[in-house]
Amino acid sequence: MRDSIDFSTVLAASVHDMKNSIGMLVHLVDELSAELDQTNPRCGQLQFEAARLNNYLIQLMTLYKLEQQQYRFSQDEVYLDEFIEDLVLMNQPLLAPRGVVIEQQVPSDLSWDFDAALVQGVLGNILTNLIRYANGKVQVTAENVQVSADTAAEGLVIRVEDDGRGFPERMLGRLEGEAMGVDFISGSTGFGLYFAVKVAAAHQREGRSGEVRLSNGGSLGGGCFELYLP
Amino acid sequence: MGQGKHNFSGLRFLIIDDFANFCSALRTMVMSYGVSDIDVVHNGDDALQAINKNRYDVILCDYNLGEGRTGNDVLEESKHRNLLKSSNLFVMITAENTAEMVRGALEYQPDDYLTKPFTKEVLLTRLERLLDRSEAFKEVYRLRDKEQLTEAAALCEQLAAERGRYSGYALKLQAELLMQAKQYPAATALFQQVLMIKNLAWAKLGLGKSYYFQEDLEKAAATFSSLVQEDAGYVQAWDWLARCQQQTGDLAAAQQSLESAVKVSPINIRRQTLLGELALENGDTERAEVALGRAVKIGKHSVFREPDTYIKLSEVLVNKLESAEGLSKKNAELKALGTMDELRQLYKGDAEVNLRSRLVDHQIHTVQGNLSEADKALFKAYDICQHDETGALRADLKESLITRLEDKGREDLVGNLVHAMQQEESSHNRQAVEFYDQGDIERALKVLQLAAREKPRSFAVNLNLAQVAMHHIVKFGMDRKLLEQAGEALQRVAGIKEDDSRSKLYHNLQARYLKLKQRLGEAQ
Repeated sequence: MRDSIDFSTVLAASVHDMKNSIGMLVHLVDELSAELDQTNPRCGQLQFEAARLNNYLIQLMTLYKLEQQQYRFSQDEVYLDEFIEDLVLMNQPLLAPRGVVIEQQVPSDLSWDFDAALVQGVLGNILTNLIRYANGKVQVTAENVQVSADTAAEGLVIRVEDDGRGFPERMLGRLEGEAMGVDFISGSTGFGLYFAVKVAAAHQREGRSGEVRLSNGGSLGGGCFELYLP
Repeated sequence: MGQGKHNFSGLRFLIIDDFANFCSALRTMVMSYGVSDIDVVHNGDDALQAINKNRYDVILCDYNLGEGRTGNDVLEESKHRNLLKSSNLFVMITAENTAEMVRGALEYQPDDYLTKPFTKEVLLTRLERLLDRSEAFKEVYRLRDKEQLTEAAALCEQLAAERGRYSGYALKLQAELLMQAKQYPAATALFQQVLMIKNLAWAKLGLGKSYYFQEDLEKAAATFSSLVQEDAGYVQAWDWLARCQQQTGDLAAAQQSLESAVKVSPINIRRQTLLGELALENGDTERAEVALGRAVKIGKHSVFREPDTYIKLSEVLVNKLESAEGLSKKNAELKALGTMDELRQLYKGDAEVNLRSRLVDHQIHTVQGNLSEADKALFKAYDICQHDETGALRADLKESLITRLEDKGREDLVGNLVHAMQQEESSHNRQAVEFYDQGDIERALKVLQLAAREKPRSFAVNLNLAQVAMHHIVKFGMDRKLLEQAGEALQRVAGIKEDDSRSKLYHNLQARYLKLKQRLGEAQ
């Protein structure tokens, strides 16, 4: 019998190639939709699915690297207004066909230290999913928060909300990676949340680590995703 | 964020991607911003040529350029050759999520990274932001391009103090300028100041470098060590650590460090070459073969390619030949000969490379006992030297050929080579004559000593060296070493024929030398 190769290694190796192929696919879809009728909802759908697949693979690859401790964590100062503007722009092609509008509320002088590539992956996925469930409005906010009344330590909260029907009851509260289970992470939203929890946990400062919280209601009455970074 | 604030119509763009489809898409995007001056190239060589010829305001370069060439090569080479002005924007486009890997491996950082796929709005926003920043640093860039580095650094300090969006960038740029101006103590102070507030990798790397250039190798090595402990993927820190270890003579540790670096980032010709050389010095021929083999493979399409790497690889293989047996011996032979073939292909018309490769061929065939092939290689080498009318080929290579011809008893060919070498002129020689005519004996002597190392058999050089050395003694007093040098130079001209126009000069100098020698004897 031959030694079997670790499945995650096979996956990691092939994800790379799939990623290239999807890059091409996304590009072709973009080209096609520019040639075809822009308002055709099926074009938007194609773009949407290709982008979703793309994000999925990037996250698979990143998760693998995080777990193998191959990921080079790089915290740098990020200005939130630019960061969120980028995120919104990346999701722009999905908005028009669905008639969804994104609003961003970010103080112009707010900056924070985190790994921009990781957090962008998290929020990109969440945003894509919330756009899917939204009725017509998604809102992204970022703000500085006091960790607790008795310390001067600060944290950053990035909040993504929609006006859809919200998250299922069993998902609400603070998410814990270990407790999420396979049935939770199956499906795009679940996987995206699992990734979010891993990324949040990778951000640590002075004994505090990042967290992910889900709630319903919020300012738009739908689902509310919160990423807290120390 | 100044959307639409910038007028793109006057900007010149260069798009570099090996994927024609992507180029045209990118071109369409850029055109939609109102840009009309757009060049598109599909490989690194064309890119460098274009950058050399034209000034581009914005360069959009894909990281993966196929055939082993990367956007990194283009960026490094452009910066190396000073082809970019400070205000020129270089945006690196990465196809995969490898940006975090790419970042730590780069000696020079692009102005921004962009991950494929992206929309035209995303690219536009990035460019607008970069142009905003360029606007804010316009004066700094102008000063930098005029080499007024201290002034540029001072201006950065002011901009950093404004505590805005650009203060981080301003600090980084200020540090870079101080390093460029070789104001290392000031750079150290700045890096330390940055590190007091935040543990930033670039600042720590810079701190280590500033120590290194102040020759505080101990502190430098400690700084780089702590960096790689925090992040084993930080290739540049490994490179610099290896440099420190090499300087302090700890070659084994230096090899170890580079091994760690190539584990993360193997596609770097200079790193692999250095690793091969270190392994060779450490007697680790196995690793040397691997590293040099990789360097050759990567370098095939790179401007950083060096013939030395090919020669060294073949030499490692020749060593292997001497001890190997059977199939591995045959493989080593084929690989060594193949390497030399490839080298000649890549450097067609380069006589020196040709000569060196023939000498290696001769060595391979000799070790393998293929005497007729060995002779063929030797005669090819001889032929190349015969055609060296300007004396451009290195003397040590010719000496090596002479030794081998002597071993074969071909005194006739040796005689021809030696004669030709004796007649060679040297550009240094001409320069020395100029100094001598200006009365600058000191400098004339220095240049002639250099010329004698370069053309040890040249009559013209040796006669001048003897003459100037003795003049120096007469003018500045007896110098035993200098007199010895004059004697040796004259000895190398001893074979001069009586009908040579310089024969009289030789005898004059010889007589003068004997007199000086006698005076030295009496003085003692």
